[in-house]
Amino acid sequence: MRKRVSCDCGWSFEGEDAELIAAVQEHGRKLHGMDVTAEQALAMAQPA
Amino acid sequence: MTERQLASFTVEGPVQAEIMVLALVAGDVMLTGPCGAAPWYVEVAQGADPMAVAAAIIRANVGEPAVVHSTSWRQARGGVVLTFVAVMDQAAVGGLDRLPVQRAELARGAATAAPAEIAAGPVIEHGLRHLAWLAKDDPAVEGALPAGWLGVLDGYVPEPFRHL
Repeated sequence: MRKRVSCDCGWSFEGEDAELIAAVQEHGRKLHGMDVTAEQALAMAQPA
Repeated sequence: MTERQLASFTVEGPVQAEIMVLALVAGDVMLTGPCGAAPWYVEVAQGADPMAVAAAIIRANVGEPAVVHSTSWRQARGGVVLTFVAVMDQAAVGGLDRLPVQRAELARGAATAAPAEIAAGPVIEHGLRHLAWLAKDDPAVEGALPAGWLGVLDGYVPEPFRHL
């Protein structure tokens, strides 16, 4: 199931779990200095 | 990151950097950055130097800043937010979304208390006022500001670093 995640900064991403996790982790680390676990990334997501 | 806040992607932590990326475009001060004209929040890990964190993440995502300076702090977002102003050369921010900075009244608190609420406008206004102060007080900052900035900052009341 495709999911969507949005960041307070305006960034958003939609995709399957694996790519969504990777995108969230990269965005968090690169833009906000955050380490996000896979579980946390999925918990942030909503069904697309 | 706590369970409570997992419904959306948001920066948290006891110390957060709030970076205002500024550039002078056609004589106007623009707020820009990788988050567009939205404030850019960065988590500062325990034991990390907030200034070093801010400078490194600016370099990694935008480019080499002309000036990076902390301008104020406040209690917000569940922790302490340190505001940094990053002055960039116009060429470094050419492809980023941006909005012109509007003048704003500063949020004023009581003698022993912070203002009840602070929007982004007063934070940026104070950041520019502090930059104006630095431009007069710190030769390194004065010399590093890109062309046109000193004239723009003449229009701001110089203020030191402060608690908002």
